[in-house]
Amino acid sequence: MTQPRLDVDALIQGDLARSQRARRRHFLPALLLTLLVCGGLLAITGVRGDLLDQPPWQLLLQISLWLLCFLIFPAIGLGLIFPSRSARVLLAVGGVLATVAAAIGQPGIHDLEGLRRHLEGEHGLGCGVVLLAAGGVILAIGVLSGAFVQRRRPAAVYWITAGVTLAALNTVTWHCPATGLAHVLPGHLGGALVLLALASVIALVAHVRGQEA
Amino acid sequence: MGRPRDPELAGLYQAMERYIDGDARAYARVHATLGRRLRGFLLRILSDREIVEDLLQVTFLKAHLARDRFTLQGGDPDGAVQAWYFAIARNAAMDHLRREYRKSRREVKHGAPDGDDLDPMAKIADQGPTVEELGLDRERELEIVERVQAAIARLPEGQREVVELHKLQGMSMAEVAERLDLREGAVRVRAHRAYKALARWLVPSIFAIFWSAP
Repeated sequence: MTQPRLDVDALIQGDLARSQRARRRHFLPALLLTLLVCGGLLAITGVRGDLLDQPPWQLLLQISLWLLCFLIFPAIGLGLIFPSRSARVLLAVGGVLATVAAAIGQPGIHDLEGLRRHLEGEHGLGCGVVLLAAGGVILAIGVLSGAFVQRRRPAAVYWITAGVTLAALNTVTWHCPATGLAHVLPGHLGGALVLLALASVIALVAHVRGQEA
Repeated sequence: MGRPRDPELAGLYQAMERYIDGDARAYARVHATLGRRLRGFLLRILSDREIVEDLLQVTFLKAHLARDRFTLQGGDPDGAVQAWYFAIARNAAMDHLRREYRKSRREVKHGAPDGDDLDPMAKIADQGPTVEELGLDRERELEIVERVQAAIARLPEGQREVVELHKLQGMSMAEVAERLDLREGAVRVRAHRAYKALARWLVPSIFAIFWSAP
């Protein structure tokens, strides 16, 4: 065998890099559309009046959650980044705790006037409806962009559905000034749980169909 | 009663899963863990180091192209990754040997003078198998042995132990039961399931080998 030997290592690394680039090409338009949906929905329904008056830690937590839902969770689900198992566990547990803390906020601090107007139906929309509508549109973007068939393991779709749910929940958190459990628990977190369950079922179906195709 | 797990392979299955999902660093880990072992394995089949290096590359390339078809079998995920790569390496080596065998056969044919009357040996009637036929038979036997070994390796650990002790080591069911500290009935059930699975996996392929034989 006198022919120069192919560098298979480089070929394989190149192929993997190419598939990563293809995934990023699918991901970026979907991310832009999702940003437009969340931004548009907030523009239509209105941003809560006390957004910048919230305690700094709460605002910081909400901004971190936007990063998680738009970048980190989908990137893990799509196979653009591969954190270790411990990092994934930390992200999942931290994400859930941060979501609850950011949604409920600091007890006793309410923009009572804003809350009264919101609960009286200032915008004519319930928080749960806003959440499910936002989540539904983002989920559709995910399904249509092929986000749920990028990785072989079905577990990967949960990262994306978690991102979808978190994006919808954050939209509602920045829209609704309520922090009391009586409203947040059923209206925000309850709606998010329903969305997460529905999105997971739809995403799994899309995943299985995509893998079979 | 399972085989002791190789500490060097720890985490290989996780790396393989990430590699299948597109992680280049995980591929490097798989390559680093298995490269040396595969080279040693191929060197036991072929002595030519240059060819072994080529076949090593072929093995990684074939594995890369077929990575989506990798499935976990048995109770040792890290060992399953190694077994999968070894099966690809073995097939690559066998393909190479077959090609070399055919090539040398063609060369012998082309090198022979035309017409049987020039070859005094051609006049002697030979009812026994020719060297070529013996070679093909040997090749076929090896292929069957490999398939059987691969099928046994696919069995769940509990069933594999029973088959290995009963069929390969010739123990009676009672002896196997005593050795594995199980009731004889349980051993018989495992053996029945194992042989049923082996029959399902092996019969079509062995049939195919004979069917495709000239």
